[in-house]
Amino acid sequence: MTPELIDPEVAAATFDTHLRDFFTSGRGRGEGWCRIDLDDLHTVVQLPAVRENGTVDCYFVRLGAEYYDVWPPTVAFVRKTQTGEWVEAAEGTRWWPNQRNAPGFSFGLHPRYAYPDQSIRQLVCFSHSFDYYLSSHTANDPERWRHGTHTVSATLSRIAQALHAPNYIGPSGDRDS
Amino acid sequence: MSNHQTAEAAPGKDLTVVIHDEDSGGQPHQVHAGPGTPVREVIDRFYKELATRAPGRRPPVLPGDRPERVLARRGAPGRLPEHELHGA
Repeated sequence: MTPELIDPEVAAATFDTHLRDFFTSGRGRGEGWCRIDLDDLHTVVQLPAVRENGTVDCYFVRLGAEYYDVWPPTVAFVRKTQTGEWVEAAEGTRWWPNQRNAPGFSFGLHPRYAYPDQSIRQLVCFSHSFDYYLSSHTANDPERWRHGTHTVSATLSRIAQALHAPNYIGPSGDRDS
Repeated sequence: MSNHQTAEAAPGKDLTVVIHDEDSGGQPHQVHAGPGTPVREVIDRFYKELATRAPGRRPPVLPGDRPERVLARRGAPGRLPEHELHGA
């Protein structure tokens, strides 16, 4: 099935509703969570990652709703530049996590992934990220995104699980960029 | 399905188990039980409630949803005269 763009007003309304739910009654109520809207279809979410010793690191993920919610949101770890732009985070910086692939579901982080269309960019590799379906991965049936059941809550909650000890080690480096 | 649960109780008091469905988000499920209620009964009640919501606990977005969803987001009333819907 080839993904098709969703009517932007419908996608934005659905995305906003589900994000509001997440921040009012889901994990988003907790400490360390924050929502920074970029435009109607794009939001940066600050989320806490917890190391084995209890240290909390904050990361930023940019979510995109172009295909939402027939498909999951696009997901990328980002950092803010000095000029205020949000750009993809690189491995070896404090904005890219060092994560062990054992959160109880398939999850992987690829800082530079070669997509079938020849582009090379980040892939937050799990079945609740849109880019996963553009990559050469195939989700098992129980893990596949289900329209009408899964929302951005599933996306953010799974990232939070992946970024919690013992699955999460710490930042991948000390550099800022 | 991804859930996390919270519960608060004192000995001999009522118990409320709150279960968050993190797949679909939204308001959490709540199961209330009085003193002496077997844990199994609480679990059974939860699954009974869950079964009434699943599958597809949220209605999918369909083309016909467009006016209501967009207007709801703009904080407008659920129904407006037709000329307002079409921006005339």
